[in-house]
Amino acid sequence: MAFAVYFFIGWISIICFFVQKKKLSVVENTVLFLCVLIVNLNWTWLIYEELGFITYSHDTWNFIAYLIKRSIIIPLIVLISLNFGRTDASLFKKLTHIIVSSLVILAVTSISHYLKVTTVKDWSILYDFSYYVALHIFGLLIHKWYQTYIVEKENEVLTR
Amino acid sequence: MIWIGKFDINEISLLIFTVAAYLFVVFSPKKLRREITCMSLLWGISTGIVYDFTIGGGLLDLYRENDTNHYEFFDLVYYALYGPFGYAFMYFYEVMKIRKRTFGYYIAGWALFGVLAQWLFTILHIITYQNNYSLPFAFPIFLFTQSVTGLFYHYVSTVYPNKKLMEKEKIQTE
Repeated sequence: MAFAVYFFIGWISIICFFVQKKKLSVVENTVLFLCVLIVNLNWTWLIYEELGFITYSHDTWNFIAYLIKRSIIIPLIVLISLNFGRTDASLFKKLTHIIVSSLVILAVTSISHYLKVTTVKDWSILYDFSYYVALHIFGLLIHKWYQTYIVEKENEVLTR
Repeated sequence: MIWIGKFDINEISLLIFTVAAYLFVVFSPKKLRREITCMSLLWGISTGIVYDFTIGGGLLDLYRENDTNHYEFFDLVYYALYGPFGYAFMYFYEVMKIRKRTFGYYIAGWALFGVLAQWLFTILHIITYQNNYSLPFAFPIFLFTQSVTGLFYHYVSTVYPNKKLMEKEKIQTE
């Protein structure tokens, strides 16, 4: 059951990203996806494996569902959020996108607790929400860094 | 979670490999644009991390990195070492002017090189196989990974340069 649900959510995430009108280039999107993926993998490893605040199911199909959520769904939802709206959107609008997107990921996380893919031991859903908001902000900061130190420097070389 | 563990052959060789690999990235003649270089390094690092946290840990736990199955500082150095591999893949793709006819040979060559590197890492105790995993299994994994990387880079290099050339022309006309 959990595998089917998460496969479907993963599929929807991919389709949404595919059809979305993107404001970032293919390389920008790849860089952001990979950065968010690296952070999310390390975070989940620390929380699940090293500190044991949350545990995952040892059933094979449930474990695959957990992998889909960790490696595909969460980074893609963050990426969809970062591509959403206009480049010159106000801070309030950007913050609204981040909060809505974090709530969506929180709902996906709640489903995993409900379907026993993951079991909470010593953790609060508020920590999860704070982490998801921080993950979005990290994405925005990486984008800012990328624009300043990678794209603009390359453009300087092009104009010479 | 431990800090370093026992500092011996695996840590020393990892430091040497990683420094040498990043020196290659810095001092090799520039063939890739800055954006692609950044993407290639991240691609390499994230590939290593995805495999380690998927088949190298969790339920499968097919191999151990460095001294323990837990997180340690030199695991990060190991992941960092994957970055230049990603860079080298895309760098030599351009240097050797890989096209459809040579694509298969290039991927197979990289897969063999990957297996060779894995073999070296097991000798140096950077990687220790467990749970019935052995070196031949690494070949299909590398073949798959390098194929995905090659196809993705082929896509990016056909879509992205056109946009950049247009930007360059636009800048020049201004």
